[in-house]
Amino acid sequence: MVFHLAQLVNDNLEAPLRVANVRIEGAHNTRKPFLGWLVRPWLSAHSSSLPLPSSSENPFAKSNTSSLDPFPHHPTLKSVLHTARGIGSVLQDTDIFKSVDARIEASRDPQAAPGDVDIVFKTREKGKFYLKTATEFGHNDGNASATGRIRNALGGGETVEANVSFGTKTRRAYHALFAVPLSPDLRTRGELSLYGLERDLSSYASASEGLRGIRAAIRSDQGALGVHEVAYDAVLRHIGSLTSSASISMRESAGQTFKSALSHSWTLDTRDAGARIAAARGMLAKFSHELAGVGPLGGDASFYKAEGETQASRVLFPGLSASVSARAGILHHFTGKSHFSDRFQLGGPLSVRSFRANSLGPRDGPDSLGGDLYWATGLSLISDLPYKPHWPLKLHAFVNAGRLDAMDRTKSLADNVSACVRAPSVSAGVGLLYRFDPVRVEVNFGVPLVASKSDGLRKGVQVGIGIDFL
Amino acid sequence: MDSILTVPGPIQKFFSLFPLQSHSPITVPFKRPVQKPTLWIAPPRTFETSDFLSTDVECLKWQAYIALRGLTNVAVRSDVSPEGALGERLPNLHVPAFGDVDGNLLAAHMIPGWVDEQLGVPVDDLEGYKDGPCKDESRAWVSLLEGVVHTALITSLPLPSLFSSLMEADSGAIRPVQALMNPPPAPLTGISSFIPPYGVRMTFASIQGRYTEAIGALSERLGTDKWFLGSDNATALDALAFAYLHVLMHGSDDVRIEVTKRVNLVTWERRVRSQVQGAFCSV
Repeated sequence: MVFHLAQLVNDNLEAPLRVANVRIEGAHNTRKPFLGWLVRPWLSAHSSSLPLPSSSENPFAKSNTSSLDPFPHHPTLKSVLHTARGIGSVLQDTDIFKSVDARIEASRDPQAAPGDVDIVFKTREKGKFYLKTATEFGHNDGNASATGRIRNALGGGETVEANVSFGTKTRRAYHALFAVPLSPDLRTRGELSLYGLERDLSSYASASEGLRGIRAAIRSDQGALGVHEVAYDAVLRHIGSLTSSASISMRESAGQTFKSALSHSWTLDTRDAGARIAAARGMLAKFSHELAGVGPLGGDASFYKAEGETQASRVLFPGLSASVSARAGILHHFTGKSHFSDRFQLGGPLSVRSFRANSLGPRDGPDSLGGDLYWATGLSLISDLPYKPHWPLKLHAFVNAGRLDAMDRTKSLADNVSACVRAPSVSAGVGLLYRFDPVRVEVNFGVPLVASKSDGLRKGVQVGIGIDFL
Repeated sequence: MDSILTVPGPIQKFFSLFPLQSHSPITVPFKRPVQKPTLWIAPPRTFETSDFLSTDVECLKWQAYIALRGLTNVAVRSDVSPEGALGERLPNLHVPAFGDVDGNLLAAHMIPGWVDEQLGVPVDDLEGYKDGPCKDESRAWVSLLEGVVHTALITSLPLPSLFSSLMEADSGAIRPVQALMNPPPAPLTGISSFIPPYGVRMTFASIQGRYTEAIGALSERLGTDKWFLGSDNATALDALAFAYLHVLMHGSDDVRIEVTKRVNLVTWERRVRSQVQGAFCSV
């Protein structure tokens, strides 16, 4: 019977059919104007036989619609089906509904013409309130957290979320978020967040750092073109709780500063979930830049900062894959000297391995002061264990190189970059990695091959737990 | 004691081969080596190059101490936050050390020892006072200044705005009023209350009355003497009295008027101020 129904539909795809109404049943806590806002682009496209709005479920979204538009002249059964699927997909993307079932029925509208249909969605809304407690370990930091969320808070797809966590390195953190969809395809969202955290930096900088700020961001997922985010940050940074052995440079950095910054970031990640843990295929490209303290922005920190990262993974032979990654960043401060909180840090199991965490770059006594210019690159070979290719435990060999410098303002940018590139710290080693989705755990045995005398070395075994590895 | 877990010899030998090549250490271009003794203080009232006197009474006390002991050419810097100081309290004294570009950082309580070392003459047993009773009396004046006068000073300061109290981090360096007053004031809630003791049962008028008496007594005791308690040379009490008088004279009307009404205190403060100013320079 299913075969016959499919045959019937296929045979009548070009039959003229028009959507008179769209009814959404069961959306008791969702505002009608919001649902209308989601549905309207699809209906407009359908009734005017224009190209359909883009959607992850719409097969024509990324195509040249002028040549592939299936209903260029008048609405047909095909366009009704596409419209129903598109609206259903958008309703699912709102994260409001537990289930969305569509049906097409003859229109009940007395003004409807013969042959007009209604698309009816029978929905069940998800629970409005969500509470989660968790214990997590990642980026060499363990923490316990509680998260509360109100879904569809005002009936327009808004999300209100609050999170509190206590950890080993990030001692305290809180985060409150209000997110709202800004486009009917739900690809663009606006976020307003309030956050605060207290981080223990005593392992490399003899201090703690407190952050308290607000952030307004617009994030747009352009599918194959990546995710763009434009944000404004106003944040109070506080360096304090210095240990008795803190260097003079860290003591000079202590106190409160205010950063007011505009930033833009772009991320394109085509790696599959497995590739993020162990190299297989796909690539990652990230670029972010930030402008702080200039003109009306105000604040104590005045700089331009840009950072890029790329990673590509390929299978060389069955059971053996390679991953190449590179990162670089530059910080140009406009007045005085850069602040500790704004500078880059480098080194450690998640970046340049076989060096202590954040131990590369300018140092004063026990403290890593951070730098204005860095690059790092890594080559990893990952293979299955012999006779155990299905195990999440893999063999790992790596070569890493990188350097972090403070910008010398008496020299040109080209000279600074040249000096930074010419004297890298290099390390190599072998080890095991374990997939703990989404976290990766590494236990490596490595040695620094080339190092600056100020670098903090880590010869032998080094353990890394995190998500983003070099 | 040797560690239980030691790296075996062959592995140690292997590790000693690395790194195979070393670059020179990465420099810190923004580091300023300490050239001469530098006192870290809370910022002065103005950013004029000739104004070296801190607005913080504790910092000014030590500035006056250094200057009145006869040291000059001591640099001051006010760009270091209290959180960067030893014990999160300013002032700190940063002094050059032979063979160490970083020098030594001294907490406030180590300043007298450093001054003695620089002058080569420690203070006598009488601490510069003319006799034993004067030395004992100086303790009472110190207690009065750091108790009643200090309480009046901090209660005269404007309360921080709600926004700044929410956004700014706690410095933790401010002593509560209960710790300043002798005897300490009673709490707001009584012993029989169900509410645990909190707050301070103290009115502004009561503090103001005691403050007026204290300043009057201070003026009377100074009289027309060159230094407090009739000492031949400046003492630690003079440094403390100068610090309070200077800050009070630049404070709100609640505390300033009581000082400016007394001509001898104003004249004395002005004379000492020029001496203290002259001892310091910029970094």
